Amino acid sequence: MWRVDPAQVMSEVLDGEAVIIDLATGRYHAAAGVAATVWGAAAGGASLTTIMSAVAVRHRNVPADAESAVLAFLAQAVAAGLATEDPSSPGSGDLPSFPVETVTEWDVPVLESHDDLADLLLLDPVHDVTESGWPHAAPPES
Amino acid sequence: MSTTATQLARLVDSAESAIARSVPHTRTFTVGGSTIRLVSAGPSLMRCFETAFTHLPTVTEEAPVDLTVLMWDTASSGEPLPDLGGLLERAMDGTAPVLHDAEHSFVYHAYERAVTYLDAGRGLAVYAAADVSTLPPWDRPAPLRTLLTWWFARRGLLLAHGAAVGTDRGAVFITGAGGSGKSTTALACLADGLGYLGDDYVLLDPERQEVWSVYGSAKLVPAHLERFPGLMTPEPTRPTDPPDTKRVGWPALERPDSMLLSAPIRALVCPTVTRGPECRLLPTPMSRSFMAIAPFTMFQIPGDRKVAFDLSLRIVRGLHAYRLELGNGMDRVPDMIRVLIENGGVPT
Repeated sequence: MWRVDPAQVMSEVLDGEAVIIDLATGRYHAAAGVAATVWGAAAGGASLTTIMSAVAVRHRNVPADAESAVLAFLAQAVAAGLATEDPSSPGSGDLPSFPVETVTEWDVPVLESHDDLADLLLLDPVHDVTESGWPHAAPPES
Repeated sequence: MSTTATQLARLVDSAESAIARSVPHTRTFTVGGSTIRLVSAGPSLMRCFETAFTHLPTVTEEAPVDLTVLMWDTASSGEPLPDLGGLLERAMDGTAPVLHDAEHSFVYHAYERAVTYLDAGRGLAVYAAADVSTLPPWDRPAPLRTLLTWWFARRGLLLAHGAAVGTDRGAVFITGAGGSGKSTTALACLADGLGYLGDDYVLLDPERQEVWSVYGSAKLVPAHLERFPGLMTPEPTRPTDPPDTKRVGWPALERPDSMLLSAPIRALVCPTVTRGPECRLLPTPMSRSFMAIAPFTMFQIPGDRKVAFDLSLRIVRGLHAYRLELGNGMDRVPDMIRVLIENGGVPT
């Protein structure tokens, strides 16, 4: 199963698309269609079997090799730091409830990632304190 | 008294000392249902900040106040920053408060060389800077952003990254990443006679689905000055401003009748520059409007990101959202926005 740390990652499924925000890095992601189904189920602690059941219930024309596409998507989420894989835990057999308005066609699950906020999160350490009590100004960027 | 409490009390003492030794300058205004009084040790910080609040209704000195903000800068007042010991040492990251609980928040702004402290329970805040003359140019059009974010978040309001324009029938909240066309859209609407609430930060009330103007400023890039000649005169740049700094204009001073203080939100508009054959308003999924508002609002200001996430979510739920494609025919955009407002958030 996969674990999502709620202290680090916040997500919400809206209009069938998951918006996932990494509080530590400022990166944010979107997962639409099958990807939203997979993310919602995995974030809810579902096992791979349960995730595939969710995909089968919520999408039409699911191909025979769907599981490998789902695993590739989950590997992408793990690589992005959004989830960790915990092979020792079987995961839940219950389908987590999250809003899916309609049954839609299968599409290859993809994580759409944005990192345009990274500049806002650059660390600027405190510098030595002057006589006025204030730290020195940050040295100019080279 | 804990060490942290002692350090914060020292900060308040320094603010009071600086103000007591000066001719205090005050300004009291109301916004978002709160009455806020700024008290500055001498004129320096007040002159730097008060223009942004010029358009907000003022109240008498005797009126009860919800939040008092004590302000000083060391360069003009001579008052040093007191020894904050561990508080400053823990401020390793200017993007996150080192203290943020139900009552108290404190952050050191490394780039600005300034500190912000809020004691929400007492309705008391301190803003101190090393030197007003070296504050970055983005502080002048939108001062005290961190403090106002903290204060209003505790009241269920969100100081959101975005613009807002409207009429007496309502307003649209315009949001998106930098360069998406927010300011251009807002300025086009201002130039065409729509009411203006702000182009960078506005206050949103998710409960009442209402937007409030906070800052009477506008950020101007050269393209704005070319596209809207005569709309407003930008402030001269300062020698200390970084290159490519956006110029600051003041609709609140030059077009005071255009300022709209608050209005019900009729729709969310997410502009994007397409350079296509025409400008179009197209429905956009709630997820996309949430992506346009939440990340930037959560990360631009140090604070509780989860609260900003939840407030952003409450804003997008229940509102019509549109992608505004900015192509040829920008002059049509104000009327498209007017129709959207008149029709209660539906474009036709």
